Amino acid sequence: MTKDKLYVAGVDVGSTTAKAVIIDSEKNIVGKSLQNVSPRVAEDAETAFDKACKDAGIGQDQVALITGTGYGRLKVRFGSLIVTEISCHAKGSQFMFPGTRLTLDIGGQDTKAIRLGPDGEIIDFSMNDKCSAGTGRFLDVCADAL
Amino acid sequence: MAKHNPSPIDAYFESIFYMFPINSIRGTQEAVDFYKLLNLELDERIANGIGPSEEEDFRIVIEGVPPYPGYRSFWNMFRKWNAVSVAATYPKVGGMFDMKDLRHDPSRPFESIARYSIYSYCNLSWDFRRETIKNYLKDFDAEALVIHGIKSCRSFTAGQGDLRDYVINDLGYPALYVESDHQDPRYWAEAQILNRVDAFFEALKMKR
Repeated sequence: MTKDKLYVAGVDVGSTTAKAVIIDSEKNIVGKSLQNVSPRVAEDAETAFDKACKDAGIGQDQVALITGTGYGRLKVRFGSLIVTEISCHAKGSQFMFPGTRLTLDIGGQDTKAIRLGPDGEIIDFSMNDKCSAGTGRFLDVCADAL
Repeated sequence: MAKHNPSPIDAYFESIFYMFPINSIRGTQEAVDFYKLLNLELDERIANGIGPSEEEDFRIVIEGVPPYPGYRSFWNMFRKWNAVSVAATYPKVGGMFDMKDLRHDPSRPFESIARYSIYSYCNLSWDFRRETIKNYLKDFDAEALVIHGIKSCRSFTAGQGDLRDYVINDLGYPALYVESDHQDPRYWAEAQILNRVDAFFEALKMKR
């Protein structure tokens, strides 16, 4: 990677895993990381970001904008933008699959169904509330047990 | 009052504080004096263009019983977005006296209170409640409805899921449903509620 190129990053600190992705100015994914979260969520955010930068072969100072998301988004203290994962998934699914009208996110804490309009705007969303059967963690545990 | 732009009052979070006199000392001179003073305060806010938050970015209607274990946090979730409740149903539970047949009659206080209690907001039909909320959205120039459902009062909460569908599908307004409890702190899941509230306002902003 050249030293003068600029990059953007997304750091998603969820209830069970922390993820980070680095994208270059041509919108290519050039680095990523995935790890389990610990009780030290702010440190997990930093570690995930650091690993993704290393994976991309760039310095942290080359990242022009960092967005923090997920349940631990407020702990991404080095982020320039803090956005919920619901809005991020809406943007992300439109980016990956233009024309998407419904996105399902099976997260560790909850499952979200996000209805999108023709231009990718969020029309409505709903999530499981206080039922463990709606969580990705439940599926993890069941898969292990089976 | 809240039809003004900006609204001088948060008709949910602030009004709940102002419910005490109408619930507890209804018909007394103290209650009358309190609401006269409140009116003066609101007149002054209107004259000076003062609202409950520095800016008014979102005008919303709130339906449902408040979550007292997380009341301050819940309010702050809306303040952060400069979202002001311009109409709400819960503060009317103590006195829906804007309905012409439910005026308090000080010469017959007990009969009056008893009559009102029979027709209290949460005892009214869903046809009436839907119509009330529809009118609030329109008359107060609101752009969305927020519903807070609780576990411990089924007469208020049952049917709110259908209300959300009605507001979204039949009226075309965005609506958010969040749930906790009136008193039981075990139901107050702050991160989950914040996530929904933030995502809701992000979506409203994205549409602009």
